Amino acid sequence: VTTPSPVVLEDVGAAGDRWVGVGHLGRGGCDSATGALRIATEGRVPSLVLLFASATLDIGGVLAELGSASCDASVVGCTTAGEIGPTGPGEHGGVIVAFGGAGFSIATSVATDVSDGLRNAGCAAASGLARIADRPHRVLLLLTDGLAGDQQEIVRGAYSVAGATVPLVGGCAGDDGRMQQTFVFAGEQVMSNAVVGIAIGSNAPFGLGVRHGWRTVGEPMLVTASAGTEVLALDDEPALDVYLRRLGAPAAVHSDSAAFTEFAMTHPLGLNRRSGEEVRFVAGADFATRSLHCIAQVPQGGRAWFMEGDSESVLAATTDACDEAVGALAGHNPIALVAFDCIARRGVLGQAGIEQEVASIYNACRPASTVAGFYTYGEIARTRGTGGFHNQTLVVLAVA
Amino acid sequence: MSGDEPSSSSWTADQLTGFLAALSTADDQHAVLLRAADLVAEAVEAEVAAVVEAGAVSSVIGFAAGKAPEALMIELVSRHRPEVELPGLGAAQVLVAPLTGGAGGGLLVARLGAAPFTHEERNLVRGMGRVLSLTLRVSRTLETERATRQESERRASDNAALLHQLQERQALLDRLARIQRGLTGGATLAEVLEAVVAGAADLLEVDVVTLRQVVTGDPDYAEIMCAFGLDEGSPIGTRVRIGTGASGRAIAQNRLVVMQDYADDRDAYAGHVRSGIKSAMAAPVRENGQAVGSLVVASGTPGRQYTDLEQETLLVFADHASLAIAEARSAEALRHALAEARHDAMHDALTGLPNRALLKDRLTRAVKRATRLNGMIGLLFLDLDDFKHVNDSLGHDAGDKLLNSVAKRLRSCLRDEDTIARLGGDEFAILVEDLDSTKETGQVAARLLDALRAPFALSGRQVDVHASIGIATTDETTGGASLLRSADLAMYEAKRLGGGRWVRFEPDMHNKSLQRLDLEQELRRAIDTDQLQLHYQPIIDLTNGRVCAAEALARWPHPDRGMIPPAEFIPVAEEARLIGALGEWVLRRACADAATWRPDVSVTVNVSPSQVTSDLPRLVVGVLGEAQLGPDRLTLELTEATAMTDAPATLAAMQQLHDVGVRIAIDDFGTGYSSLARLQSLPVDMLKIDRSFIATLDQHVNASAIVSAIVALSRGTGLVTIAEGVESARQVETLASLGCDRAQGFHLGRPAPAQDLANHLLPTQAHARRLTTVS
Repeated sequence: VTTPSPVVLEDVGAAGDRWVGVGHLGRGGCDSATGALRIATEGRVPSLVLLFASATLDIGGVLAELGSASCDASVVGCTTAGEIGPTGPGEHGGVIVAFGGAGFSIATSVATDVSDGLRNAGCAAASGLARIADRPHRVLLLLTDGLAGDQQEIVRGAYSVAGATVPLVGGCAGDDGRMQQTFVFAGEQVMSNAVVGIAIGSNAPFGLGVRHGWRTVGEPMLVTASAGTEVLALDDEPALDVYLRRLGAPAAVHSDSAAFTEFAMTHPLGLNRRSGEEVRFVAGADFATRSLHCIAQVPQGGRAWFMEGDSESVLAATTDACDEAVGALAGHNPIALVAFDCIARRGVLGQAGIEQEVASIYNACRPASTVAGFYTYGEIARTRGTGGFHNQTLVVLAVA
Repeated sequence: MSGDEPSSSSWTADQLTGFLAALSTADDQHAVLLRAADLVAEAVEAEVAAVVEAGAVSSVIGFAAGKAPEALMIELVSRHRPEVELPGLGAAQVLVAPLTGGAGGGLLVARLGAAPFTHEERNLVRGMGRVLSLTLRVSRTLETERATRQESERRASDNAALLHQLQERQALLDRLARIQRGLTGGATLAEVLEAVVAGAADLLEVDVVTLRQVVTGDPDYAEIMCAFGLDEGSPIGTRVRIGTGASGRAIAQNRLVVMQDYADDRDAYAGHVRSGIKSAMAAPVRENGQAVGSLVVASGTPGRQYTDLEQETLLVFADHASLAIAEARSAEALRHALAEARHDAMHDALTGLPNRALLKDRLTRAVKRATRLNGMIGLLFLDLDDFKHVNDSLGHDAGDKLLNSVAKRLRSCLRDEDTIARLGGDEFAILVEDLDSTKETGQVAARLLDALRAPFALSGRQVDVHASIGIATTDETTGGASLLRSADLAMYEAKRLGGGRWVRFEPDMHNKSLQRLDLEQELRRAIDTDQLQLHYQPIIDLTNGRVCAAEALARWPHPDRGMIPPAEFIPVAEEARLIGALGEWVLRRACADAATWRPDVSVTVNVSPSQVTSDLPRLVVGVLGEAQLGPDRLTLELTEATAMTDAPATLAAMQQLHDVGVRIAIDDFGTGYSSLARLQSLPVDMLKIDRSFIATLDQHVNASAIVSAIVALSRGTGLVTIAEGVESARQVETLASLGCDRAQGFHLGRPAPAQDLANHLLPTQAHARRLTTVS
C-alpha cells in the first residue's frame, strides 16, 4: 500500500480562501514537531493546529514547539491509540493538521473536571460556536477524555448549545490501548478529565460519514435484566453464559479477563434502534456474577443481538463512510478528510487491513489526498436526531 | 426479524423503564426537565424536544442556545398540528404528549423531514409523557418536603411531632424508590403491585388497600389483584361491579374519588358500610390514558379525613401501578414477538421444515444423548439430481412447488421422532436416532428414494425427480458437524456414481475430497496467475488440404504433477464452479491468438453447458471487440445435449450468438439421440462427427453409411461437416470421397502450442502448403 506524501497545497489541498495541510511526526515522517508543522503549513499562517499524538511522546515539548511556531493559531489536540497521517496508519507518533485561510474561522473552548457534570461540560465545549456565528457553515469538533464518564451526556450538552443546524463530530482520546489515562490538549495545557471543543466556521460545507461494519449474529435476544451498563441476563439466562456459548468463544475467553477483553473487542452487542442496530462495546465480564459490562447503558426489556465483523465488512464500512462524508459536500471536492476510527476496528483489520483502510480513505479524498485522524476510544458524530456517541465505529469529517 | 424496521413494539418497550430510571436519578427538577427533553428526542431520533408547563417552556433542545422559538413551542403544545416549519431547520413532524397533574402542559418532539411518527413512536412518547408527569409530581412532593424540612428545622428543630412528620415523608420517598427499583430492576408485576399496596397501606395508615383491575372480557366488573387488610370474606379475585363504591367510580370516571364520609355517600357499597368502613378514596390505574383498574384505600377510624398531600400520594402510587402494568404488557408482547421470530429463525419459510440451524441444534443434542446412552444415530444427506433443470426450464415458482411436494413425500415416510430439515436449495438432511444397526439407515434411504419414484405433477406436466443420498452414522464418525460433513461427502459420491442412489460414508472419502480441494485451489490459482496454456489442433479443409481452423484446447502444466489432461481438470473446474472463469480465460486467449493469424483461419472454442447463459453473448461480443477479431472467425463448440435443450435461455443465447455472426458447432455429433430434422430449427452452422464413427470407418460398412448419411443431410441443410479423430491417410481419402468438408485428428496434426503451428496459422507464412503430418 502506498499513501501519497503531503501534496502541493495550492493545487489540491486548498479551495480559494481555505487550506488544510497535514504533517506526520515520527515513523517515516518528521523527527520534530516544527518540521511536521512546516510540511503541514508550507510556510502559510495557520489559524488552527490540531495534534493527534501518542501519549508516549513528550507532549509538553511538542506543544511548546508548536506554540512558538504557530503564531496566533489555536493549538489543540488529544492523545491517541494510533494515528492516521500522510505515511499511513502509525503508532507512537503524531499527526499535525493545520487549517488556514480567510475562509475559515476558529473558536476553541475547554471544559475541565467534566466528570462532575458531563452535560455542562458539553455545553461549555460548544460555547465557541457563538463566536463564529457569521459563517454559513459550521461544525463542532469535540476531543474528549472517554474515560471520564458517559460521553453521550457530553454530546447532549453540546447539542443543547449547538442546535440541530451544526453537526457534531470528534472522538475520545486514547492511550495506545492501555485504557488507563487519556489526555486532551489546549495551548500548552495537557489535561485529563477534560473536553476540548473546536468550533470551525467555513464558507463551504462540511460532510459527515458514520459506519460501523458489524453485522448481527443469530437470533435476537431479550435483555431480561440489566442495571445501567451491566447486562445481567439475556433470555432469562446469565448474560455471560449466553455470550460465550452463542459466539462459540475459545476456552481461554471463558476464564481469563485479558483474553475476554480481546475477544469482546470484535464481538460487540447490538441494540435495537429505530435506524438499525446501535453498537455497544462489551468492555469486560464478571466471571463470578456471569454478567457483561458495557461502556454505555443497555436498557432492560430491549432486543439485542451479538455482533461480529470481518475485514471485508469493516473495510466496506470505510468506503461507505467516506462516500457519505464526501457526498454531503453538495458537489464540492473535499480539501481534507479527518477520520475518527475506533481502535476495535483496528483489532479486526490487523496491520495490512488498516493500511488498506487508510488507502481507501485517501482514495475517497480526491484530488486533495489530505487525510488525517486517529484511533479512538469512542466516536462522536451527530447529523440527525440527537444521538451522537458511537462505539466501534468510523466517523469521517469531510472538509470542503 | 430485521433490526432495521421499528415494526414491533419492542423498541418502544425497551425505553420506558430506562426513561423512568434516568429521570428518577436526576438531581433536581431542572435536571429532570433537561433530561426528559434529551431522552425523548433520542428515543424517536427527533432533532427538537421541549417540555412546556403552565404556558412556559421549561426546557428545550434543538436550537442554538437562546435561539429557541418559545412562543411557537407553547403554541404547538396547546394547539396541536402534525407538521410545522421550524425556523432555521425546515419542515418537521410534531408529536405532543400531554402532561397530567400540576398545571398541565406537554412533552413535545419534532423530527425533521416528512416521515410521520409511527404508531409505536406515538405510544412511546405518550408513555414518556406519563412517566415525566409522574416524576415531576414526585419531585414536586420532594421539593415541598425540602421546603417543609427547612422551615420546620428553622422553627422547631426539637418539635417531636414535626420530626415524626418528617420521618413519614422520608418513608414515602423510600417507598417510591423501592417501587422504582423494582420497576427498572426486573421484579415481577406481582412484586411491584404488592410493593405499591404495602407502601400505600404503610404511609396512609389506612385499614384496607386493594388494587383492582377491569376483568378482561367483562368490562362491567373489576377484580382484586392485590390487597392489604381485607378480611377472609374478600379474597384475591373477588369481583366488584364497576360504577359502585369508590373504586368503581374512580374507574368509571377515570379520576380520583374521595369519600370522606363513606356511609353517607350515595355510591357507598352497603357491604362495606356494614363492615365498618368510615372513609375511602380511590385513584384510577391507567393504560394509554384509559382507566383499567383502581387503587383504593379505606379506613374504619371514625373521622379519618384525607389531606391534599395524602390524595397526591395515592395518585403517585396509582401511577406507579399503571406503569408496572404497561411494562408487563409490553414485555409480554415482546416475548410473544420473539417466540415467533425464533420459530421463523429455526424453520425454512418455503417448506416449514426445520432449517440448518435447528438441525445442527438437534444433531448436537442427539450426538450427546447417543454418547451417553451408548446408542447410534444416523444422518442422511439428500440432494435432488435434476432440480436445476426443473428451475431452468419451468421457472422458480415451479421449482418451489416441487420442493414443497418433495418435502411432503419425504416427511410422510419418516417416523415422527425423525428430524427432516431443508438445508437450502434442493438439499435435505434426515436425522434418525436410536438405531439398532447401520443397516437401518440404508432401509430409510431406500424408502426415501422410493417415495420420490412416482412422477410429480407440475405446471400441467409430469416431472421425474431423482435424488442422491449420502449416509453417515456415529459408528464411523463422531460429532454432529463431522456427521453432516461425512454424509455430504457420501452424497457427493452417490452423485458421482450417476445419482438416484444412496452411498454410505467411508473414511477414504475424506482423503479424496481433500485431494480434490487441493486441486481446486491450485486450479483457481493457475487460472488467476495465467499458468494455463492453450494448445491448438489444426482443422483441415478437405477440398484443398489447407488449415482453415484450429481448435483451442486448454492445458495445465502443473509444477509438480506435470501436464494435467483436461479430462482430469475440467470436471474439477465444473464442480468448483470455476468453469465460468476457465471458459472466459480460454475464450479471451484464443481470440487474442487468432487475431494474429491468417485471416482465412478461424478459431474453435469449446463451451461447457453451464457457460451457455444469457450472459454469454455479451461476453463473446466484448472479447471479440477487445481482440479485434471478426465474429465469423470464432466457432463455439457445444455438446449435443446442450444444443438440443428446451431451455429458453440457452436457445436465446445460441440465437443471439448466431445473429452476431459467431459460428456454432455441435461437438461429438451422433452420440446422442437428436434428430437431424430438429437440427434445422436450431441456429447451428457445423456438425463435428464423433470420432467413434471415424475410427470404424475402414472396418464397418455401417459406420461409413452413417457418416455418409450425416454428410448428405448436412449438405441439404447447409451445415458444414467436420470429422474428428482422423488417424490415417485412408480415413482422409474416404471422408473426402463421402463429401465431408473438414477433418481433424492426429494424422493431420496433433494439438500444439500456437508458436509451433506458426507455419500454418501466421500470415507471413501464408503460402499454400499441402499438409500431411504435422506432429
